[in-house]
Amino acid sequence: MPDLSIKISSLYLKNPVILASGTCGYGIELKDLIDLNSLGGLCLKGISLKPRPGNPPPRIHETASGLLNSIGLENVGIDRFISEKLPLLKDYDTCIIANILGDSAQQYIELAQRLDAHHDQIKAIELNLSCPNVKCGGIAFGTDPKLISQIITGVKKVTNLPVIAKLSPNVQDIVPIATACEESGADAISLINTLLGTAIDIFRKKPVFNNIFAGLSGPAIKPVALRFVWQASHAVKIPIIGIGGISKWEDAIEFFMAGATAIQIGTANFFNPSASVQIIQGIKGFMRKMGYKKIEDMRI
Amino acid sequence: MEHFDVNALISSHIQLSQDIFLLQIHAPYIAFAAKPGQFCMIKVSGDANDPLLRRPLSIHRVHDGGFVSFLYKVIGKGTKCLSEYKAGEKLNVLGPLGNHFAIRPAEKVIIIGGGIGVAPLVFLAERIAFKHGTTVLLGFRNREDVCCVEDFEKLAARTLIATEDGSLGHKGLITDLLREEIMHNPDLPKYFYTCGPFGMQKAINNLIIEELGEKKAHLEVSLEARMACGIGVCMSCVTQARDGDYLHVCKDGPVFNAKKILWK
Ligand SMILES: Cc1cc2nc3c(=O)[nH]c(=O)nc-3n(C[C@H](O)[C@H](O)[C@H](O)COP(=O)(O)OP(=O)(O)OC[C@H]3O[C@@H](n4cnc5c(N)ncnc54)[C@H](O)[C@@H]3O)c2cc1C
Ligand SMILES: Cc1cc2nc3c(=O)[nH]c(=O)nc-3n(C[C@H](O)[C@H](O)[C@H](O)COP(=O)(O)O)c2cc1C
Ligand code: FES
Repeated sequence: MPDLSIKISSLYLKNPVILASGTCGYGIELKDLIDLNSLGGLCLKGISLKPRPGNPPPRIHETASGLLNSIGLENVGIDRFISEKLPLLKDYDTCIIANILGDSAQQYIELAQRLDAHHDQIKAIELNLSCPNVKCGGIAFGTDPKLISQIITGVKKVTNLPVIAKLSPNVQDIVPIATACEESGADAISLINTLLGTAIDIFRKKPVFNNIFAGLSGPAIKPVALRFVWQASHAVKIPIIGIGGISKWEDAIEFFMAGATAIQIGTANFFNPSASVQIIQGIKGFMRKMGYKKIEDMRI
Repeated sequence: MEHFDVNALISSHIQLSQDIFLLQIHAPYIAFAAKPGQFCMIKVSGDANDPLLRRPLSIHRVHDGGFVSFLYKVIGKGTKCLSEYKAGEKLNVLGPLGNHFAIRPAEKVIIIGGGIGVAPLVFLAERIAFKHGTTVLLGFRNREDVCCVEDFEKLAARTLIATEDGSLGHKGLITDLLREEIMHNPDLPKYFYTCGPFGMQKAINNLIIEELGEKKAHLEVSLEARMACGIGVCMSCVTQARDGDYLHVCKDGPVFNAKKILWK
């Protein structure tokens, strides 16, 4: 019988399948459709200090096997997250990961501190390092190893929860960034967030999105995500959580072989809410058939 | 609200006109739970990834024996794909989703549908259990687009039609019919329901407020938005509220009190 459980520092997951932030809401919305207890983990919608209304519509645009989104990180803010959303997940036995975002290192630290007080429920914190850093003139945090180190070091000081650094693929070279995460104490790296893209409405001769650019996700980005996972896992020793275009168990196996310890399912939840559960079954079946005992045995 | 993700057998699929189709599936759980105004998300490409996203369609009717039907117009890739499915094939359907119209006493309502927006209104009319004298106003571009008239007439509704080109019924807009109704009917019904293009619903809202005043205008509208999930997890389906907030059409709607909406 294969053992699907994995460890990410002090974090134990019963299996390596996690739902990706922004694609499973606050978790509870999916309770009718899948057995939340069967998941390795749930990475909840990105939370900021203040509620964010998000961007004006249109917020999505379908592309060939992909999805462009410009949601604008709409969320209820940390206060309502803690008072209204978290209690709804009280009775579920899955690993709850909070995903946070801020405009400055200070905001990440403050958020981590607030969440640490709920370590009975929250088992890890994922830092969304792809958001525009307003204080630094619009560069994404994720492109600057110095800023990333500052955030991770600061967050690690205020919490004992495992810290996962979620990285942007919109960079020249992921290696110095992954290395900076490891050196500043991140417990794991998750990647990729969405790829910057755009679409044009040819009849109106205008970009589809008000912000012109949007984030591409879905099956279309899988080869790119897999490349990032390969590069990062060969550059650092901390666990890598692979994300990007995973919609079937075969995709998941590719990520484990490329060096991922766990995976997250994003866009697939939209067109197939049962994707995660089917993928867990598929991984189990494949491991049994091929004689793999642990997830890590699949690594190339 | 409970919903189900089912692989449903297509029991019939009929082309009603050049681009309008009537699809019926066997989905007992959905049929039993469904309320008028709710919708389903339909995977139109089987296990393939193109088109990637499900397509939202309103529940047009439910039938004894656990059947659910949809009435839709082919407008792009997804609906074209759907139209190629045949009776006997399976279709992945998620529903029922969203909120629903409030059911009011038959003698107090007017139902107003524009174009393919009539789809959910037949189910509504059935649940309101029409009596003689209940009024349905339908607006279409032309005769080709006209549908559901017999469905309403079978329910003994007084059904008035407007077409923009005058090829059937009144020549002009649905708001002409509505103004007439309001003016010639001192014994006014109190509740209005609409579904159709945003511009049409906006015009209806304006007209009702103009004629009856904010206080007496009780209008429920059904809105559309681009949707990825249909279940409230992606935050893509927003429409703006009058108070500046965003409303999520798949969860807070698709049915809204017209007073809540920013009609820009
Ligand atoms: C709650 C709800 C109920 C609906 N009920 C019906 C119905 O009963 N009958 C019917 O004919 N149509 C209905 N629609 C509209 C229907 O969903 C669109 O016509 C359909 O999604 C178009 O897909 P397409 O691939 O053919 O068009 P394309 O234009 O190629 O689609 C591209 C993308 O835009 C989205 N899109 C395009 N038009 C619309 C629209 N009007 N509303 C929402 N998304 C859109 C598509 O879903 C897709 O993601 C409903 C929409 C909503 C939101
Ligand atoms: C609609 C949408 C919203 C998202 N919101 C967030 C978010 O709030 N925080 C975050 O870190 N990532 C967010 N993401 C990125 C996903 O978590 C994931 O990294 C990305 O979509 C790639 O995976 P996929 O191809 O499986 O979707 C979002 C993605 C989508 C499609
Ligand atoms: S369609 Fe996903 S939240 Fe409404």
